[in-house]
Amino acid sequence: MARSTLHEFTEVLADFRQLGSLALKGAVAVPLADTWLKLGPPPTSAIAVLTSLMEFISVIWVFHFWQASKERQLGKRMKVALGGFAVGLVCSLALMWQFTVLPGHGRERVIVGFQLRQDVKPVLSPQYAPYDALRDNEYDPDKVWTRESITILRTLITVIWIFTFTSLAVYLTAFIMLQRCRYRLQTPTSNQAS
Amino acid sequence: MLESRFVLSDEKGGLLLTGVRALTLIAVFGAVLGVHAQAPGVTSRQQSTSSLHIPAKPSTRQSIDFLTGLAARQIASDPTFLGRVRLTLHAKDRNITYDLNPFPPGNVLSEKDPFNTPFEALIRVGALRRDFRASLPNETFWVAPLDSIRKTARQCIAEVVIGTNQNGCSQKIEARFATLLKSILTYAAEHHLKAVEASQPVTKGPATGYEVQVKIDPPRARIRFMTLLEYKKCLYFKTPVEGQWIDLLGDRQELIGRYHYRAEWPSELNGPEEGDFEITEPETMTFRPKKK
Repeated sequence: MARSTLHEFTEVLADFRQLGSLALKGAVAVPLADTWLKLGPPPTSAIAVLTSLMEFISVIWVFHFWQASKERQLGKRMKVALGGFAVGLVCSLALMWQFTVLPGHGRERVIVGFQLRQDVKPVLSPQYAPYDALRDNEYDPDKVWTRESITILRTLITVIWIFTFTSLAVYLTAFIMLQRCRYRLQTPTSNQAS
Repeated sequence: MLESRFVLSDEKGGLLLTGVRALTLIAVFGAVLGVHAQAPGVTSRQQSTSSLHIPAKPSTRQSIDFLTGLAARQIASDPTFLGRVRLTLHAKDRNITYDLNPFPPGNVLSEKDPFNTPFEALIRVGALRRDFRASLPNETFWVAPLDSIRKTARQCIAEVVIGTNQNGCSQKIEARFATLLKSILTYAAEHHLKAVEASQPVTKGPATGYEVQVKIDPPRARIRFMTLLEYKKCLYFKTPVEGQWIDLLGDRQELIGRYHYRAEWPSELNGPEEGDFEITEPETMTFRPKKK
């Protein structure tokens, strides 16, 4: 009898004994920890909730649309998701390293821009870098870089951050589905044998 | 009573003129209340330098007129703080920006001073009247509410002078301002304008500042500051720094990063001095005049 997607989904989430189930729940919950850790892009609380939500949606998506997929197909998608996660993680870290500044202890990171404002450019020198100007203006990037460049970087960093965690959720979901698929294939065989 | 450390800023006249005005005010209200107030170290020669006529025993009427005139002068001489723009009509953007907020406690006169509330209200009313005249000269909706606030403030001054109970003066004045706000909102709605409350003059970037406790020792200086980048820009582009200063008001501030400051000490404390400071954590910052 064909099992419904919802049934399959709830069964996985309700199973506290399976390592895969725990990993999936953890992956969805991990971004929320950023509300306190403040490692991700700002505004951390909003991005944390959004990332978790996107992960949850992607898990449902995978359960719903990939259930009928063949084992080989799932394996291929798993690899793609893992690759996406790896690339996304590297890009996220690189962008965060290059284009965010931590104003001080306990403060949220500030995303800067890539194009300097015309009224700030002449003030800068080899001894006075854009990051010095940022510190000298209450860490307000709008007063140092153009708004467009800040918006572009903010969007890019946020999208890549969400993509990274979504890839992880997809990878784990595909893995669980693959394992359950294999388990189901084995179970009727053993029943028939008994 | 009025304290000599109150901050009545005066861009043009400088600290000396402000001091003279302060001493004049002390003398007037000292006389009004039967107290011959004289700040320590003030000589009669210094007091006589004021161009203002100081009656020996000013009446209620004279006190009201004096404070009204003083409020008007402060509005005219300090366009960035006491006389800041409080109402603007942006016809192109179809919005009206208003700022009816009172000055923070202790920023006009001492908090304990009985004249503080009505005097502060007179300054706000004066600035608003100027802005209404400039932005909406042909409208009349603002005239009655402003007159009402002015009348209430004057009544409060009279009550202080006579010595009657002035309880509820602040509430009465704020109630009149609430009426004015209703009138502005009604006008905006009728003319399809978006009514926007103006942000406070001290604005911050996206980074939350650290709480800084500010101490001025001795408390006889006006401390002003601006972000260091703004200061560097002024120097580079040779633009006047005067319009960029923010008065360091109150004991607590939320600051982060580096700033440039100007401390205007009296001449006996080596006069004005400038410098930079950086805030990287919550701290207590004390401004002291540098020794010669």
